[in-house]
Amino acid sequence: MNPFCILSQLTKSYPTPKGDAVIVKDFNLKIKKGEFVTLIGHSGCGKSTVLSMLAGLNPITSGGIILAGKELSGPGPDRGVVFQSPSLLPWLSALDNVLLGVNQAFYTASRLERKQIAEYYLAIVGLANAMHKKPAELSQGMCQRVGIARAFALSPRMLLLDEPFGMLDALTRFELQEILLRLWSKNQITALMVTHDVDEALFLSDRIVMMTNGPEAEVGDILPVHFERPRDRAGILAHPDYYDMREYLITYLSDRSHIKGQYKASVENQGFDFAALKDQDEKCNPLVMEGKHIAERRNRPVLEDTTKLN
Amino acid sequence: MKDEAFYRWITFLKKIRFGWLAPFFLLLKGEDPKTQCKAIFSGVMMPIFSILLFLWIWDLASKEIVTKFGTVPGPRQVWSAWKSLGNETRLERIKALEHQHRAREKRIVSAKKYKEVLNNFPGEMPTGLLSPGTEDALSTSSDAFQQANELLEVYNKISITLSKEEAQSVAALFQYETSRQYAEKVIQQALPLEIRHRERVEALRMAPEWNPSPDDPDKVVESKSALKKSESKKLAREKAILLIERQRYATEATKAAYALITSLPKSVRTLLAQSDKSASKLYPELKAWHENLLAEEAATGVKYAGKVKLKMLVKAFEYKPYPGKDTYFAQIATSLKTVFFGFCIASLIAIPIGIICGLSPNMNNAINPLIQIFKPVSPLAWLPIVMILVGALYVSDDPMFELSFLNSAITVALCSLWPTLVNTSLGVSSTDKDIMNVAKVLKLGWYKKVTKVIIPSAMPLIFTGLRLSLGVGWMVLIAAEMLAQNPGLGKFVWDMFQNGSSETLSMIMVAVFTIGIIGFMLDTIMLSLQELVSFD
Repeated sequence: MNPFCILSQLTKSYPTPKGDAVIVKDFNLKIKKGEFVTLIGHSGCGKSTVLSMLAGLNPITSGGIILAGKELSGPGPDRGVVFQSPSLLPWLSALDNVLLGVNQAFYTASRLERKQIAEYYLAIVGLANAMHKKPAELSQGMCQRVGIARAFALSPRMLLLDEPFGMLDALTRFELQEILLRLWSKNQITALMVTHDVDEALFLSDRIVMMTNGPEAEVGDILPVHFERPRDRAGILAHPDYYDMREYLITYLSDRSHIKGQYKASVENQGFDFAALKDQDEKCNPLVMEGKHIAERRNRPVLEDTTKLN
Repeated sequence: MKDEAFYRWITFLKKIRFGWLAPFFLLLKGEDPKTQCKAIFSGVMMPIFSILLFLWIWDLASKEIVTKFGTVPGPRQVWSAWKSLGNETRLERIKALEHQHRAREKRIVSAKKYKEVLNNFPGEMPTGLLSPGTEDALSTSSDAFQQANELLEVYNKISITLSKEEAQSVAALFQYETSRQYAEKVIQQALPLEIRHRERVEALRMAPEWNPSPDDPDKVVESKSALKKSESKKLAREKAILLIERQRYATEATKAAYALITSLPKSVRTLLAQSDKSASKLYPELKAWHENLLAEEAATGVKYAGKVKLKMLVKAFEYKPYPGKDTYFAQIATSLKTVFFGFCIASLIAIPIGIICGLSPNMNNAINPLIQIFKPVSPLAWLPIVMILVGALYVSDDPMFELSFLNSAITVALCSLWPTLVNTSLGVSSTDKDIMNVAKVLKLGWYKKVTKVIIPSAMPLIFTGLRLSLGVGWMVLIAAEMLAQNPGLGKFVWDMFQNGSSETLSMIMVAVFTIGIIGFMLDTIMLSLQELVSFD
């Protein structure tokens, strides 16, 4: 199966008086259709930059993105974006906010049909009774539900989530994660999410892409998450691999991400070759094999591993 | 749900600077009385206390300062000046009604008088010269006018009479019960004061010479002048009190007179209104008839007797508006009209330009220097230019607007358009980046983006600009009216300053308070509008 979305040699740099400031350099990632991929990394490492380039909100310096066989240029309603802040238009009701997008995506549908689409998604996210309220009358969590409904109501090819639950309290976050998961599994939309919440990433994704620290951030490591779907939180927490994976991610975030470039070198030493593996369709990314690596690492102290890499 | 609406209303009150009312509503709602009483103390009692303190200091200070117009008026004199403006307005209204009444009288009398004569003329006479019942209605209204006039006369006579006996004889002259009752009331209340005043003046004059202690001559001089000073101060005070009391009676008299005239039975009023209506319809017919007759006369050479009478009849039917002077309230209305007109011109110019500037940084850079240069220009500098330009460009035989009105309104517009322009441009250019991203992601077209996203999100700032503009416009208006001689509040202040009577200062102070209070009200209205369009 061909990868649905290919990010190839994606680079973002801003010109400064001291030469170009390279935020993201040669970012490579392939995403399968219907896959849920999470980008994780330290704040400011450039994960949101990658996402916004994919959304078309940020011009690409070099490299390119291919979505469903077509190179992207600029934003469009084929990609639904859920922003960190709900970004609702405060003068429109929840329904009108969703309708604004639906009207753009389904301009051939009748007025009634479009309204039904908007109402359907609002009902799914649990806002059937608050459709006519203005964002100011809704809680932050409810606003973000509207944001999710707006993104899904576009029936996009790809869903982009930019730290969608970053501003919410833990309980609301759990609730919304489940709503998101339910909607996603129903629609099977390819999704890319940016987050720095390890548990969220583990709960939602098929693969977790760890980014090295900026500047010149790139893919540092990829962790496949093999929990079975449909998932429930308790089941995942009880899974024997859960804490290992979690520890692996946290260790990466707290230690390895600082060692820019070195880890990639070590990956190459292990025999992974980006160029050679580019065409392998089965493995969207060579680092898929990392899953095995974890299994080997089980019971091994973290520090030791780090020193070994150094 | 009802509670929610109630608290939204409370928040709204707070936002439009009427938050001090909130504790009263909350008390009625049954909220904690202690907290609410505290809020009332700080929100209501403190402002009242400061106002009272201000009035007290003003009252004290006013007596010390003597200008060429006499002592500076205190709050009481200003209040009585306000009352006298009210009286003046009422008197003007009475006069206007009387004018109307006289016109009716003339019409009906001449219609009756010339009816027979008219039958001798060729052509058909217009019907409806006299509708049934009109005469009775007219006599009822005549009675009312007579009574009202007598009431006013009583007041006038009494207010210049000095002795009780004289006043009583004046009252006795009036046979109508209302006026006599009124006169007696006035005598009862006003005369003791008048007499007391006279007695006090006498007492002061006859006061035994100050008996100084011989050992301190300096003190003697000091005390003597102090006594004199206090004497004159006392006199001034007495006079002021008397004036204020008189004002009160004048107010009552005009109110009573006005009530008499306006409280005619409804049947009478409808009849009179009908007669006015048919008269205004008849007038062109009569006029045409008269002209036909003249033409016929010229053609045939046959002279008609009584032609003059027809002419007088036509004249009696002609409508002539009351030529009275502008009252204070008419001047306020003119000012409001002018500022509103100027504000509309300013908004119509400023909002579109502001939107264009906000959308395009290039346009913004192009227009910005002009804004910066013209923004600080005073209305006094604009006005002569406006006067010359309007005088040259607005030439019309039948002008829709007075020149002075246009001059002031355009000056107001020129000075008040800048805040709206700057704020609109700022609002449009500072649309929230996240919201712009949403627009981008949804790929809204340019027109949709501007109308559905950018302008709504700029609304709060546009309205802030409009509010500031109206404030500037109202402030500028007074100066513009003063120079342009537009018959509004500015001209009122100028006229009062020019006529230099003892009431000058208090009248100007009344104008100051009026301007301030209206400015506050305009601001509150705009603030409410601003709240309605804001979405926090």
